[in-house]
Amino acid sequence: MLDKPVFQVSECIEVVNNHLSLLGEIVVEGEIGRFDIKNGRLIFGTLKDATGAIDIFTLPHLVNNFRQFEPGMLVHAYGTAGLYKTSGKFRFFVSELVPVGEGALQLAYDKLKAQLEAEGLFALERKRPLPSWPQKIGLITAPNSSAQADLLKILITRMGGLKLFTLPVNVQGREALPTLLKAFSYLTHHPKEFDVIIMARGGGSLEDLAAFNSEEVCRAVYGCPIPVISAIGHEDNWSLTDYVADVRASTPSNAAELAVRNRVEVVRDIGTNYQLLHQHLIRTLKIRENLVNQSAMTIRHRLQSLTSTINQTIGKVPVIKVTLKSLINQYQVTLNRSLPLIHSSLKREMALKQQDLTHLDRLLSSLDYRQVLHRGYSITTLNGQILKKAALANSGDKLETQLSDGRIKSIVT
Amino acid sequence: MSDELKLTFAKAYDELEVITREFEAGDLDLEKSIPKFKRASVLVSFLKKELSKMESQIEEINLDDEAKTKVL
Repeated sequence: MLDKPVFQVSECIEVVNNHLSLLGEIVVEGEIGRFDIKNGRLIFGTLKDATGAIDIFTLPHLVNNFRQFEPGMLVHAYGTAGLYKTSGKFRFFVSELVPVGEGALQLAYDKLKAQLEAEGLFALERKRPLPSWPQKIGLITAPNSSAQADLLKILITRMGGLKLFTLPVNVQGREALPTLLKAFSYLTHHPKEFDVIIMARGGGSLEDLAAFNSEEVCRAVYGCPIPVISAIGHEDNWSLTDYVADVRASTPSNAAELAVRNRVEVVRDIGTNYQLLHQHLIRTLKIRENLVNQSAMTIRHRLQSLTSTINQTIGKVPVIKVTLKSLINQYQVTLNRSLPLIHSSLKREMALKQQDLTHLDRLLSSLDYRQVLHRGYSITTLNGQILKKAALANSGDKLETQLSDGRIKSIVT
Repeated sequence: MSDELKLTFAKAYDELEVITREFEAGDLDLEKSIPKFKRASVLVSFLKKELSKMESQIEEINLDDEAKTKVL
């Protein structure tokens, strides 16, 4: 009987592990049976197929978007097989877990889309406007791809003076995610070197576009300090980065058209604007010219009217002169006729007044009291008052009597 | 240099749009219209000249070294 080697238990575990490590990293395809996240730090689960099942173990930071996985999902688990040192139990340590098959990928897509939308990564308010005249444009594309070629060709044709920077990435496969994250990390560290970013790739299956539907790349797009135009896949199928980006383009060509204006159109717009300005100016000048002409005509008419009035007035002067002269003559004639009449009338009046005066003088003379004295009468006064009654004179009163030729003073006895 | 160019081009284009809107609004009198039209003529010449002469460049960024290397 051949001697078989005898191993201690721990030696057995070690030998088996050594053999298993020779396998290196393998990929196991299976359906998730269980997927438990313990305290957010460890993930324990099972992978199974029709007849078998294995335990899997991994860490959250190793599994891209670990929350998307759930029982029933078909996956590819990248990892290494081994036995637990203490229990000897088999476990498959997963370094990467990827959903496979359209069904699983679609499920993951729908789940992540709902989650990111709820967090607000798709919000319209957050989307930044694209710069009007970008000069420095970053292109996240696969090098030498038709997407890159289309972008470069259309950008250069549409506008001059551009500085185009290509950031080479893998757009599918295992290297897609890390290279995309590296590109966005570069952008975050060099924000002032770019005006806008275009991320583009052609169409493909959900598996091909997996990186652009991953949580990590979506968050990288969301956190990018520069506005991002995303043009991933087909026109009608939006990747999750398309939803997160500031602008979504249906194709790489469309992205180029959204990013820069067409030089020819700009020149045409400038020309159109200039024409508009020219027409406006001509119109304004015309209006002003018309106003001036109108004013000039109005002034001319008024002047003509005034001149005519003045001429008419001047024309009337000789007539006025003749009329005035005739009036003066008339008054002269009337005056000449009237003066003698007035003179003789006055004379007559004066004679009559003289007669009246003489008559009155005679009357006055006849009424003179001194004429009465000449007839033998006298006037006697007492204390300057005319004495009319004898009874008023008392004995001893001094009297003064005026006769026609003098006065006599007496005393009453 | 290119930043100054961008600013001048963008500013010139914006200024031309502002002048065009002012003319369209019809509020300008003749004394203001003529100098603005002259300014617009200057802007149009400048913009057309810039658009005709600008050449583009392409550079590839080396993401590993974070330094620009190849000029295509």
